[in-house]
Amino acid sequence: METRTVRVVVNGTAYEREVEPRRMLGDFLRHDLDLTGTHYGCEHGVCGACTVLIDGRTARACLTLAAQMDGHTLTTVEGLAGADGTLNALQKAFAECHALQCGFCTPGMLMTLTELLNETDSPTEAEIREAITGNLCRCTGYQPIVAAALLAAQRIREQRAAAPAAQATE
Amino acid sequence: MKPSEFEYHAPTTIDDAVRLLGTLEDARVLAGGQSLMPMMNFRYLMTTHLIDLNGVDALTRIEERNGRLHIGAMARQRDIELSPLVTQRAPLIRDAYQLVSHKQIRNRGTLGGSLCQLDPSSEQPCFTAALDGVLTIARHEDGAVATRELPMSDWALMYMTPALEEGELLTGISLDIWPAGHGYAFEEFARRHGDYAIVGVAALCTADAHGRLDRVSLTVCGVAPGPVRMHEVETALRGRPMDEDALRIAGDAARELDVMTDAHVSTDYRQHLAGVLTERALKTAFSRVATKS
Amino acid sequence: MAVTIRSSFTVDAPPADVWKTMIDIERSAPCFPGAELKEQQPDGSYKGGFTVKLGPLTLKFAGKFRIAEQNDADRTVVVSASGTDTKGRGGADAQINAVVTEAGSKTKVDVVSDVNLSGTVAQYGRGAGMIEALSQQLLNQFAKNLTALIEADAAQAPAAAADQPATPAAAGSPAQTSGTATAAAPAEARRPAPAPAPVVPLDAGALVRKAMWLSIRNFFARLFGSKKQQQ
Repeated sequence: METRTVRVVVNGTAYEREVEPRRMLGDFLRHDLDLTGTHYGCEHGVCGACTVLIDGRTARACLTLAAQMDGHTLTTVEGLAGADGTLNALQKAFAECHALQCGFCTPGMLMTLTELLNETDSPTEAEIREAITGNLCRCTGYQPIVAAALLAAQRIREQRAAAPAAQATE
Repeated sequence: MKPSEFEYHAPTTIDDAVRLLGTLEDARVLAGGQSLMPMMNFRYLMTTHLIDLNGVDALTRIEERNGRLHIGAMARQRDIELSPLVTQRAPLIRDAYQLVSHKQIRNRGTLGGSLCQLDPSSEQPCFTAALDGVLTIARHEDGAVATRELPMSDWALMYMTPALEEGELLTGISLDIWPAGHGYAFEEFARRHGDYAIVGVAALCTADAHGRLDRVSLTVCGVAPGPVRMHEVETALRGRPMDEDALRIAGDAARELDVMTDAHVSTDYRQHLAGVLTERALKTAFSRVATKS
Repeated sequence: MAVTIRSSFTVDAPPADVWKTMIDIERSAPCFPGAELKEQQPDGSYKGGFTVKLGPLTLKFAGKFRIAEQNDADRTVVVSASGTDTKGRGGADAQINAVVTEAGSKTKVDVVSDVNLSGTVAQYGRGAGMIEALSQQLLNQFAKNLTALIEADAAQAPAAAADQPATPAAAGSPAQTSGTATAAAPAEARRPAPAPAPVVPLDAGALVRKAMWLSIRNFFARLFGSKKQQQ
């Protein structure tokens, strides 16, 4: 079986692998790159657990072929925390607000909300709920997830407001 | 759940894509993959060759040309949704996209793919019909690319079967541009936000300085294999004021539509929805009309 | 999933001719779009295949069928068919009841098919409505092909058959059937064919669709405009 070369940057690191054409992106991440943070729930695009960012936009890793990612840039849940493992604002808010229980939907939720927070720094509750319609959660009932997103957005705004002042003092 | 084996091709030009499709035996194209990949993952659908169109930039353009809006078959739904040109020239489309699935799907899904999948409940064929869409179809002929044009009204052969011959590729869609200040609305009913519509209605209208309807476009989806343009009602409404009577005429006609029954929804229910949603969509469209002075 | 499909078609030929051709399985079965007739079994049944495009899927059924009941006096026949998808996506079995009656100078054939789908195929998408619509189109095409075959018989009857070997896999259509041919050449000639059988292209889809397209525009015009019940 003919393989395809995939040169892809994931969370800032460049990888080059040979893949079967039918290798799905989710399997590529989990098995070929050992990035098991991305989860498979339904494998047909409806649950959102496998959501990743492709060139900054959310997409289902279960509906994308690894071969299609040649030349592209990906962000997965492993790319959210700092290099030293410090959780980012959204992740911290999730932990504080109990926005996860079993954690299975969480990577997808985080990537979807990351995209939202990249698009707008003041999402309304309605916008948050709209954004996560494509991510199913069986544990939390979504309330704490929405709360975490609002909290994270608030903290990010505060950080940005404080940042210029901090820079001025350096 | 993984697809069966296939050979993968990644053309970068329309010529190459059309040539591959026209010469390979048992080949399918991959557009956004949001409908195709689930079927391949389930092994409903198996193919020997997969032609990935995601590298053909020439198919992604969104532009205005000769008074019509031209959208390439591979334009991402999300790009069309956010396009300032589309919002300005065809605000109906942006409204419709709010109801199409979820952002993650729209980020990859394409208009061309949706039109070729031709699910009866899909919003995209509906607005394409509402805007008198014309489809450009390419094929490989005598070593070159030949094209033909097809009005959207002729696109649906039957359930989920567009009028595409073997080896043909949908390359673009052109849409009517309604005058600035036209009324528009897309209404649908679905069990959950993001689901395909059980029934959906796209309404467009313009009115003269006296508030009388000039041009009307009324399209219903979810009731038949393809979107249904209600031409008789459109004609009946010309010259009428934008009032309750107009809504009633349209609603009554919608309730009389020949509709399909499936396991989920009865004929009666669909007809009822068609009536209610038609009235709602028209009412909203009326409210948005900036009457010509 | 069980579906009952009621449909009918008209053939421009006398009932006796239509009946005679219809019950001649080796000649009439190939008139069904996408059908491929194989060897007759010792018990009288036939092995066969049936390829059909259902929306985005192409299903290929392999199985068998036989005439379960036949009444020459009343011109009624019951054909039972069953098959499974060669890719393992499910199966279908059907009981097809056909009645051939006179309709003025033409012949009307009424068909009631009880179809049972199982497996993945049964769960697919739009289900019953889609299958009924597809069945009607296939029957319309069957009617066209059958008519062409009967007309060809009438033209050839006095003379001895030209007996050209029917070529499978030709993408073109023989002169008599003017672009609507969709039937398979019998896998083995059990007896000399009295007239050249219509040929099927390897890809039945394109020609079938072209012909279907031409013949169903009216169908949709009626569907979109009229108030009659679709079911």
